[in-house]
Amino acid sequence: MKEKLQYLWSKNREGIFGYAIMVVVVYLYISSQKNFFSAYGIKSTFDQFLTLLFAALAQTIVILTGGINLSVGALIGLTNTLTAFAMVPIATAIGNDTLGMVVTLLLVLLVGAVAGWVNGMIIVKGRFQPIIVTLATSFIFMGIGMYLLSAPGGEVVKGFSKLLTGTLPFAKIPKSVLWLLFSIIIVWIPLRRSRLGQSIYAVGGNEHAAYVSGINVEKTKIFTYTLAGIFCAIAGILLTAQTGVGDPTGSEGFTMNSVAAVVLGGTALSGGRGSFIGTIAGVITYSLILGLLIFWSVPSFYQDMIKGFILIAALAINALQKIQVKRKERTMSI
Amino acid sequence: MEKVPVISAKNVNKRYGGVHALVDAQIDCYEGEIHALVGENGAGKSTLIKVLCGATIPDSGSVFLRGKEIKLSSPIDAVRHKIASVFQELSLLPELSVFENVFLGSEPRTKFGLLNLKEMERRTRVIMKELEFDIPVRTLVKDLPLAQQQLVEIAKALSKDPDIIILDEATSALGSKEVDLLFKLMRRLTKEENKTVILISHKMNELEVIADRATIFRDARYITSFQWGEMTNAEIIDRIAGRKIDTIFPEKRETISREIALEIEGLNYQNKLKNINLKVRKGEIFGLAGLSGHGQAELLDVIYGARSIERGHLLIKGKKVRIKNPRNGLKAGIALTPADRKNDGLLLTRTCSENIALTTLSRRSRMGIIHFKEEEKDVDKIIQLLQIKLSGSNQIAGTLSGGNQQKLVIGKAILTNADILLLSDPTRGIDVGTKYEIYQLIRKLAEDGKTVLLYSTENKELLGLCDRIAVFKQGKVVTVLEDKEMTENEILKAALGMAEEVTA
Amino acid sequence: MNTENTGSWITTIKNHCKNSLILKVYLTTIALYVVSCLLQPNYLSWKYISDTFVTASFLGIMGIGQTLVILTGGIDLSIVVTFNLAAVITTNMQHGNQAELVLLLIGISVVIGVINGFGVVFLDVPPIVMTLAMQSILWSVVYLYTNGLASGAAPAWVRWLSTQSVLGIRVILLVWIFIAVVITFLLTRTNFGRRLYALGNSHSVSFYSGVNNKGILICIYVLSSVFAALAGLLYTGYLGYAYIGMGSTYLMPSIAAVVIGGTSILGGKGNYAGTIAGALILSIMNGLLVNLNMQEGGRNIIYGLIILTVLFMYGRGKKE
Repeated sequence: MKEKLQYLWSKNREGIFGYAIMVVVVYLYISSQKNFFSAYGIKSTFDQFLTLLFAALAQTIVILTGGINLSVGALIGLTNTLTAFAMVPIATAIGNDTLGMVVTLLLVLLVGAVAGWVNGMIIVKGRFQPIIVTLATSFIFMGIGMYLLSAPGGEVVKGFSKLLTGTLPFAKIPKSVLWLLFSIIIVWIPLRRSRLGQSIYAVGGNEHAAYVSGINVEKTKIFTYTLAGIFCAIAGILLTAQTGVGDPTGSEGFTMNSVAAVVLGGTALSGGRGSFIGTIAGVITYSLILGLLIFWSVPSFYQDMIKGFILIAALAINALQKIQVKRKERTMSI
Repeated sequence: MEKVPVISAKNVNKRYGGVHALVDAQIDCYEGEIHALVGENGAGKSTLIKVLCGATIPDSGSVFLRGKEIKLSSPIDAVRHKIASVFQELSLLPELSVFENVFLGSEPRTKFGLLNLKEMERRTRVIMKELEFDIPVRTLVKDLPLAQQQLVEIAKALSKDPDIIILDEATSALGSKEVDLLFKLMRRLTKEENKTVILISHKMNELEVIADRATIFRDARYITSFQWGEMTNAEIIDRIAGRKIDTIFPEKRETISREIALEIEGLNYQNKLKNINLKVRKGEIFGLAGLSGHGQAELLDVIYGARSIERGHLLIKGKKVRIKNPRNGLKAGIALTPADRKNDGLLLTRTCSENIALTTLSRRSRMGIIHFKEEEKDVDKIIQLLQIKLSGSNQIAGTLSGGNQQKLVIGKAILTNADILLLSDPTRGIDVGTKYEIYQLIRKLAEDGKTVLLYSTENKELLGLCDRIAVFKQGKVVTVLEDKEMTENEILKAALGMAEEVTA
Repeated sequence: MNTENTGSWITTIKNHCKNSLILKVYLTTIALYVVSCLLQPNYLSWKYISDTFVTASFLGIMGIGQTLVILTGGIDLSIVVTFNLAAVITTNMQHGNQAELVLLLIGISVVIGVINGFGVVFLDVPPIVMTLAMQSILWSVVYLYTNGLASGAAPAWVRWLSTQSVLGIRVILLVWIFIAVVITFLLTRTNFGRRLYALGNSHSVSFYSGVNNKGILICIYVLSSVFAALAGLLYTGYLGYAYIGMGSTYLMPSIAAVVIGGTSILGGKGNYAGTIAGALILSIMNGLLVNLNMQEGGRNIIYGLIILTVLFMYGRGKKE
């Protein structure tokens, strides 16, 4: 048992500062919300972080391969817009609301996958730097979204929002908690324990080692970006469920916030190290800060400042840790 | 020793730019034997090995597996043919655990298609037990000491149940305990399981114990193969080194003054250099010998300031100096030519002119502005002096041949007018003609009163150029040879730890 | 043996021309202008050209810092908030001591740059994260400083700079040209420039060559912030006022202009002349598409396609 704990520790210790901050923030948040444990309290808490959760999941896998994805926000905007744009027309065309919803969602997921695939193909086949390719595609995705809706608008089928968000009728558990569990149990863990997941870590950690071990580096990267596209689509769908409308330009903030959450959670920008579990800590932290500030009557624009400080502090501590490790290494004999 | 060799190569040729890495090379290895591949640095051993395991594609020649020709176009091809290889540079993922690394790329799966971590762990434990490696399989590779990391790499290779196992200096990071373990394992694999092991090693004392047969390479060519025991160590060293030192070295002349230019007192650096004490005189060419990686390059780095001295002092012309970075080093009159010219010595995408001028920018400028005419003069001077073959000083450095690139690096250092020149493996991967030019240059520098510290992996070079030679082993200076003591045998004896062999 | 290393201005230009990338970029710019003239005949006027340059100048000046930072292999995401901060400070001090204003702007931008540089060099924070964090922090500073609403208007002399002309040429263009010349000079004819390129190409080689890597990096981030502040000042003069959020649309374009101009995002290769062309291309493009009544969506798509096209034009990466 002890060995198992040691194993988990060694795999996750870089995210330790992120976890610590999360615990502090969560504690402060809970103690500040008198009605936290009420249904509304929990729901509003968790609802905030839903979209960012999947945005950060997309960013996590890309960063693990040693890349970065600046098109996350734009793709969320696009899928959000597409959902709000197409759902009612499709449902009307089919004549069935539920079926219309399902078809729309499948369409949106497909669009997300294709968008991600395009990212992957250009990066891999062109051998270009991910940062600049995804910067370019972010404009393209945003532009397409703007074509669909030039201003926030669109609508969703009745019952859609309630289906994906809110609380379960019988148990008073927020559905967003279910989504959180879904992302961990049904998405992350199987992914992590699949050949693809292992390849992602290998490619990001030491591309040469991955290659000589027989891993198809190109395919891994393309898969990763495609998968990231799907996660962005899910984020976009959830955003639509929460807001009820599509907004082609309102999702830009998700890009940088997803990077921040990933870094805070201990995932290295160089690739090969980190985990979505750490990212979740970052996501929760960032999502709750606003609520805390509101409760303390601190003007909400301090939110960004605090996020900035946390980010720098987390990395600085990480750097200090590395120096400690280097000092230790020096005393080990050949 | 009958029949068909289990693996062999014939007529293998490989060139890298202007340098011949392999010329008409061949090798034959039989089932059940531990076959050692010996020779000096650059003799061609590593290149041949890379050909045998698919990491390098030869320009011409063939590889045969049990008599049938095979094409190896990638390392995975080799694995498929049951040829496994372990190199000095580890190809492990430091952030993953031992068992994840061992099974990387060939992970067993559960019926749901996910990685069967339990099975991976179990099998790795079994492998470790069989190999008698005492390594905890759940530890992350980055948390293991280097010696154990190397063992993991070996375990990974063996997990694929290969028939042929190639080890390229795989014992360099191992301690004596691990080496014993490895040897026991190698014996079992070859004697009991009829596998074949091909081993590159410089450590004669180890090879004496473990090798069945050996092949000697020299200057990219196959020299001979023999049963271990057929030749004495002295004869082996003779074949490795070649009969006599070529007369391509410029004549040594008396250039050494009495003045001590550089003194190193009690220098320590991490665990790579231990208590180094040396005095080098003005006009002297002082050599650093020994197996590569035993501290020679680190010493040069420390003197120059590229690495920080931890304990001890440096004295230049009798005065203590504190050199904390290369800028300090340059100011103190020291210049270094890094061993890795591609990554540390040259900006391959910039012009030759820019490269040569980089270290002396402040000298030629007023208020930070470059005076191009003066720079051109300086650059031309160097190009002429070193006879660098260019189509114009605007040529991009990366397009030059290896020899000319090295001249750029040396030229850059010479331009600084440093009194102390540290040359780290300056003739690595260079053709013979350019080598000679560089030797002449080094001699001339000494005649001009410069102090030269020369680290080379070619003993012949050191013997031909140096006035004295310090032999390094495990970060310590084992001995300093001069005059009659300076022979290849003496160097090898000290470097390989065969000092027990001293007869007189 | 030596053909062209004489260091005269002609040689610099000749060298630039030999660097076919720059040629490609400027040809593209001119081609784009020609095409736009075909679509909009009224573009064929001195006024249009002048206006386009003016519009491009703000992006161009912001692009100086971004070019320098990207040349070292980094990136600066904080330039827009520095831009905005400078803008709101300027309007706030409209009636105050103008010398103090200038000193304040310089002082603050230097502090921002030093913090960025410090984080990157000493705390080992990747530039993208450090400048991202700084940006977050500074937006709050902007809010705090203005109490949520920018006040005042641009001082007279700033307005003069950005809107008036001298001898028929817009003053702001003179300013831009002056700075461009200085920066290009810095990059191509000074020790600093040489060392910068060495650093951007290989930290290791520059280290072994005695270059002060740490010092140069901090310098670069300082310059980036200072020029961002300058751009903010000038833009305030152009608009006449400032508002919170001003400049935030310049972030991605600043990176785009640098990359379109041929500078490699990995560092070590490129120059400011290319960024100027990049800024011009984006300005012409934007203006043209607006005039053609293309929706914002289409403009964005074309933006992205331009960047991708440029990447393919400049050649694919090397195979490992």
